Amino acid sequence: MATVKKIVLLGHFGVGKTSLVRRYIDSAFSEDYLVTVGVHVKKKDVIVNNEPVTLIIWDIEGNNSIEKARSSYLLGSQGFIYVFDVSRQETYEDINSEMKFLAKNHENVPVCLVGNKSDLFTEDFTKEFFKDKEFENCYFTSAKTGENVEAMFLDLAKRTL
Amino acid sequence: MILLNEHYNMSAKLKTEILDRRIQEIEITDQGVIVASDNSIFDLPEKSSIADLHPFFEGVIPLLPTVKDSLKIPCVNVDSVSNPRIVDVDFLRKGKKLYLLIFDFTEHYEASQPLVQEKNVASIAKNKLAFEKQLLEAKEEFKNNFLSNLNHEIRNPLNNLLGFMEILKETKLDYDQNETLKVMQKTGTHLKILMDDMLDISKIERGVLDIKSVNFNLGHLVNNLQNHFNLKYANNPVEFNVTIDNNVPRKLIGDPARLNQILFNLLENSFRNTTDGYITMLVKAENKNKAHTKIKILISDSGTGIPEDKLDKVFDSYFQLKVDKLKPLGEGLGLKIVKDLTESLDGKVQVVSEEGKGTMFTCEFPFKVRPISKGTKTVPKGSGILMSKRILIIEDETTNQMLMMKTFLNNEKGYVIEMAINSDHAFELLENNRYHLIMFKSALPDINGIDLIKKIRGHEQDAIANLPILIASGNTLKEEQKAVLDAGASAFLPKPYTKNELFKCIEQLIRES
Repeated sequence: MATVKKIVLLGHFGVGKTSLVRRYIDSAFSEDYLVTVGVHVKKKDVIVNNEPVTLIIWDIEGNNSIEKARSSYLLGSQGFIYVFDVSRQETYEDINSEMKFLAKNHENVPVCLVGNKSDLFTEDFTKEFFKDKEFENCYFTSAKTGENVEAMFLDLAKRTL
Repeated sequence: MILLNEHYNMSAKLKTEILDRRIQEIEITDQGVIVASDNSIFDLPEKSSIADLHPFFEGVIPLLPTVKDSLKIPCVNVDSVSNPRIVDVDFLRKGKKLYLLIFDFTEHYEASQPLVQEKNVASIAKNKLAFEKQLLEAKEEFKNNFLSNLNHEIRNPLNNLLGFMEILKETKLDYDQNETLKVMQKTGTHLKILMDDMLDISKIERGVLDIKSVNFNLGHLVNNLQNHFNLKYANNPVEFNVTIDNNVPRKLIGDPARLNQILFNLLENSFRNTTDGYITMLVKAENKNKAHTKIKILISDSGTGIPEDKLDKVFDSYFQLKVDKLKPLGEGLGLKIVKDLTESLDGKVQVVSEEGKGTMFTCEFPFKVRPISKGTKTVPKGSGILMSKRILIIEDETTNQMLMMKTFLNNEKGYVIEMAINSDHAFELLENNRYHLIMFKSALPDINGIDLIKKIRGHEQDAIANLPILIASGNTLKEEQKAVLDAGASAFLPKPYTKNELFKCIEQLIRES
């Protein structure tokens, strides 16, 4: 019997939360931006440490602060993916306070920080541009190319166990 | 009254019919198993699990036992293939029973989507422009830092290479060995020029390039260029002529090194693109008065010419002009340097060209004219006795130690060197011997170069504290050079340097001390 884990994607609108889920679940991508209203929930069965795990992935509407997100969406979460857009500063300038909010209100729930749209920069430039401490353990993904998407989801899945 | 009642009855019936379609009531267990359902929106058989309807419910099941009064989750996309809906989901606890209410607000949420979409797109666009500017600046800085670091990493081994080749040149070589060495030196020098050009481009783009204002002789500069190219292309069938108008003032104030670099690059470009015919350099003066003049230099050739559609690109970085009969020539940095340096000297450069006929570059520079001096100074002759000068060099790498020893071997200046492998060893030697100069690099194994300079300058013995300090480093960043000189170093010699450059610097420092 598989363990069920609820994972919630958070972050500003337009950062690529839905695209990341679509890439991970359907191996598909579209350049067109279509706003997410409410929450879309998808499911994926994975194997983590040789054990079957069912990830219930909550792709919620974008907000410029987690405090503004509907609290019922975050209830019972066992892992968070906080996504920002590497090409939009407003989506990562308050990362510290967002992480503090999660640590305070969802203690012991693992969080994965993700800088999406990394295909817009070279790897070296991304490392240099995001060299501050807060981005130390950040995953840089591209829903467009698929880079690091699977690795990021699997890493978080492991940390929820 | 009856009519009113009828009206209300009809209204209530209509309301019920509408609501019946929009609200589904389901009784469930704490494990999410369906006890009863009115199936008004979704078909849910009794004894099945709500998880079968959609993964959303599978995710919510663990929360059901914790519901005391109610749990409301709005705007859930239940995107089943047959019946996609956007619903509000309420769980209600009534005594021991748990109810799931599903409210269908699909039309309402779908109507709001375009408004939210428009708002979001506008917000993204508004911030995009400011960030793109910031990004461009960051990318430029990243590129320039990368070039500087790369430059530094290459300069040290290149310096060793050029240094050993100079030493090899002074040994007995046969004709073939000599010719091979010439090619190696030419290649090494070309590499050095390329590194210098890359660094200059980086400095210009960062706005940190030093433009000097010193006395120089335009006639000598032009003559040297003519001699260089005549020698370099001695076997070239192209006729090379240089003319300086009589009214051109020779003694000027400006940056001769940068002017030389510009003219060198333009002439090199002409020689590369001309296989027969001529290359001419004409120097003219315009708007001349006692204090200022505008020097105009025209360099024309009968070479391959540049296609009209490429003319506006010739000064772009890394542009390569490919010609059918000839191989692509060089990295294309030369003309980019010419434009940037000319603008740094407050000048202008233009090009006209016709494919298959030739090209003419015209440069204009404003210069100050040097006032005519009343007499020339005479330098008193020396006594003819050569006094030895002891130089202490701190160097931990054996290759560099060997290079230093060979460089100073049998030198005509009377320089005698001693080696220290680190700063402790250096102080041991300094306190027991007398030296005329100390030389080291900015990164030593046991101490940072700047700290060592401060330590020397703070020494209790005046002979050590006042010793000329020469720093030779592959790091050519202006900030580093300034820091070293501010700390108390007497001079900074960037690598790679020639033996002549090194000895000239040492001579000057010892003389000044």
